[in-house]
Amino acid sequence: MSYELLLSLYFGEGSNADLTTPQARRVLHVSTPLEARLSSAINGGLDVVVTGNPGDGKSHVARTLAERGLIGDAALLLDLSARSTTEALNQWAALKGQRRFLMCANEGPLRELVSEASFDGRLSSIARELEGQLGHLTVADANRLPNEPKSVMLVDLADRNVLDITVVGDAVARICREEFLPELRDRSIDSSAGRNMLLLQNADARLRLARILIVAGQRRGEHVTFRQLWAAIALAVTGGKGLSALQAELSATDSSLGLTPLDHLTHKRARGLLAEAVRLYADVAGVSSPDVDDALWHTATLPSGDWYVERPHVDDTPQRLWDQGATQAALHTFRCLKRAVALGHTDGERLVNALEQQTASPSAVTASELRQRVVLGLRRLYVSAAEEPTAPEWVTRGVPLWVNYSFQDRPTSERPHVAVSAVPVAELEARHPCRAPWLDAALGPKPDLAWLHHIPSGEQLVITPEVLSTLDRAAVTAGPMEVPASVERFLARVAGWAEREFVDDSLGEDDVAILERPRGGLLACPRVRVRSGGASYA
Amino acid sequence: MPDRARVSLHAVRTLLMGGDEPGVFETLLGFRAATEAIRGVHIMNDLAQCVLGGAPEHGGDFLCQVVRPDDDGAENSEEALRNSPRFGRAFARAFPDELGRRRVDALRRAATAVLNFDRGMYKAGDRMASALATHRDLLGFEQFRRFQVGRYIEHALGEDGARQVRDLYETDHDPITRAFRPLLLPGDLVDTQKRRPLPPRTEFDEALGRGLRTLLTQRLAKPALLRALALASSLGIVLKVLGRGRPTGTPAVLALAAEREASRRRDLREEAVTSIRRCVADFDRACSLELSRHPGLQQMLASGHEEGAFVEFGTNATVLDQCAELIAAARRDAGSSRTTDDDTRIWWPDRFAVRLGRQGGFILPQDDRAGWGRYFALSPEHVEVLTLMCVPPGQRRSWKELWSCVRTDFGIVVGVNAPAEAVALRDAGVLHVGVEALAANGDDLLAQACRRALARRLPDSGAEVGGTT
Repeated sequence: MSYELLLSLYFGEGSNADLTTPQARRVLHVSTPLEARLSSAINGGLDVVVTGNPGDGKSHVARTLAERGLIGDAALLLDLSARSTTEALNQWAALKGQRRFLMCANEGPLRELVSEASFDGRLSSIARELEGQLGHLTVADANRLPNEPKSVMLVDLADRNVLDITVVGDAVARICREEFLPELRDRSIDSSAGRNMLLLQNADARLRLARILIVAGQRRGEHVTFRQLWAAIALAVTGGKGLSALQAELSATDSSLGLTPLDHLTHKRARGLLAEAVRLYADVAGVSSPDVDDALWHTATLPSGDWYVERPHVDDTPQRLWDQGATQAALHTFRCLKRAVALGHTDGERLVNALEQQTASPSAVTASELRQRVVLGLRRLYVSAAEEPTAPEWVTRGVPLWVNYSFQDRPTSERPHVAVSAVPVAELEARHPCRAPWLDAALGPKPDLAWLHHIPSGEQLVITPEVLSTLDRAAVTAGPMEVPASVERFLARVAGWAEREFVDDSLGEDDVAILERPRGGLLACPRVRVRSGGASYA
Repeated sequence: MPDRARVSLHAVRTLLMGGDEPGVFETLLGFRAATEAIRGVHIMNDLAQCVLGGAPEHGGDFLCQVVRPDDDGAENSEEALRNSPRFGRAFARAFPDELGRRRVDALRRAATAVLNFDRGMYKAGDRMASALATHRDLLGFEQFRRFQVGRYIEHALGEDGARQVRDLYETDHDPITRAFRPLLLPGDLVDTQKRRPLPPRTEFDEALGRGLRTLLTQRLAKPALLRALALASSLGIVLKVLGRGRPTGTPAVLALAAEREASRRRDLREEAVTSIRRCVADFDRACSLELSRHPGLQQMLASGHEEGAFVEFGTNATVLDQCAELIAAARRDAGSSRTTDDDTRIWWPDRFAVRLGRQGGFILPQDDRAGWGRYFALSPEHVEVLTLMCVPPGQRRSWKELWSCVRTDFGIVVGVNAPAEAVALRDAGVLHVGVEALAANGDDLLAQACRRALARRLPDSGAEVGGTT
């Protein structure tokens, strides 16, 4: 094992099971309940098909199981794309009833295989079973889950959540071992990579890094593959620097500030989904903690608590730099110190806690509480609590269907909005993801999202942690706020449904609300009276 | 015989821009482009009137007066409107006396905020009454209709599409119409615009029509649908100009992800700028060819030049080369209002397109001060509009299929299938496009679409759009 392997994880090669050695796979293997589930399924008589994104670990898990002898004599087909569909079908048919089968397949070729197999008398029942599972293993409605597998079990690793504290913590621990230290003779642990490994050998520091990565990934709201996780961890430790860069760093006389794991992850040139997510959503330098902030700004250290490794050295405190007019340097120093504290000091716990509290988690609340929070947030995204007393009652109940109308390239938050109806709360339902029960424990925590479902129209709004955070903020604040595009789209779709359902009784009354802009003043809330001679305001 | 001859710039201008008869530009495009002030609100008003057969006979004057309470002297005051022989009854019906002055004023200001948000309504009688209409009774006369831009969109839409648009403007179930129903003033429809003939549909026009018709079937509220239609129409008009010089009428433009960090956008900016320049060069070639066939060309070439601005051309070249030289000289000498007077200024369609694209937010930068060239950039909203054009309601399509459709139909390249797209750009004269940088741009576009919940990443490293996200 070597520093080069560690560095290659950042660039994606080191985490490609098809390019690494069994030894490297052993070192990097993070145990999850998935292995036991696959093994028991195969040994219990099922064929298993593993699908997922590149980097989700399909080949890794299959090879690992085979190398450890956990799948008996089951035949292993690692890459469906590498052979023709006919060839794969024939192989499968030949094995049917003889040997179990473990196949890894990208979704495209798998769909093709299933489609072909459905016309093949030998495999048509298996194909039907697979088809029933494809895309239905994690759904919003439990009634849409497939039946428990009888002969073949599909595992979609896109449904696996690697943002689990045990998994991420274990992954960090695996690469903070001596064998990964850069070969810099007796100065390995003086390099930034060496110091970061030393720091992350501390369990608290390691878990905090894991928690920060989890917050970032959840806020990002996208599936994170194992490869992306490894890339972020490797970047945190190495900064993406080769040995020569580390050597140059050691011979430089500059301050070592800005070289901690969190500095690396938030660096503007850092690549990768999780690194970008940390920079956008989980930079502890932006978390407010008055005591910590005050001490770091004035003294560049903290009055109490302990550093897990050597305290970061700074030539000047942020305040002195600021006083000298070096404002950018002052802010940079301050941010770096905060990131160093977050992982490397006992008081860092406060920063990480605060970061976690800023992030709303749709999966952490019950469906009824979630519906209540989302409905309130949707309402107050347009009419803030301060404006509510002046609004007609119907605007403060349910979810008013606000629409805007302009052809200009101006933000939604600047456009006037009109509503003529509100969706009653009873028509809305919050739904959490449901996972096939036979896979539930094997795939880690469920995805941290939910859906607000409008029952009559079938339209739904995806509630990610980011959307929920915005709605929660809207519920308790006033002043301009950007309306998330997904919210605007949801309301436009439901309003479109309401238009189609609208019964034109020709003569009647409409309650109308006209808003200057979201969270702006209500310009007018008239009643429109339609009579045979024409309509009028009342 | 001398090698060089001169013709008056004004004469060249007349052949290119037309007078009573269509000029070269209109023959190529189907619409005139002699303005930089036209906006989405004007185009949509024009389109609505084209499909409906005009605007109510009052020409939108009632609405103009209602939504301009502080303008045009005292004639728009509540008192004046109540006593107006033309609109007194309509005003009194919409705003009964018992509402009181304060409420009437608040209601009029609310109408102003919504219906004149895009500033398309001027003084009553000026025939500049483009409200943000959602219903035929909110339409008004509009001088910009003479450019026939809405007519081009109607032409692309075809009969079915035109009927879909007509249905939209004839229903009153949407929130905007319901909110402003008292301001709806019915009247017989009057079409003030003479319909000039349009050139036959190109492959691009067919594709645009198909896309617009698909968009019109989407299950959105009418205001959202009309906004998407306006943006799609603007995109279509700009791409029409940029692609007119190419055989199928479809351009090849490289579009950058608008939310890309500026430093990453720089990677491909030069190539994106070049792709537009190549389209303009192709357009000029098409203009040269069309000019060479123009029945008035020989008379113009023979007319020579006596006074005022002129352009020179070589007399020993072929007619086509002479026309190419005239176009190049006219570009140089009659390019902008800074260098020429109104009589000789030529309104180049590509400048019209750039202006329209900037208003739609898909051509950057927003002004020319920095000296960079102009390039296409797609925001998530533009991606959404293209999705609405390419993916029928309720269906899903893979990210790659979407962009393959966008490239084939509309000529926009983003880097989702980088190797093939680099070849397509090379064939269009944009050389040395880095496949890696192109693919990175495609990835950035996908990331920005996923962030806005427009697209979903899928297993197999793909992504999909459409359905309910």
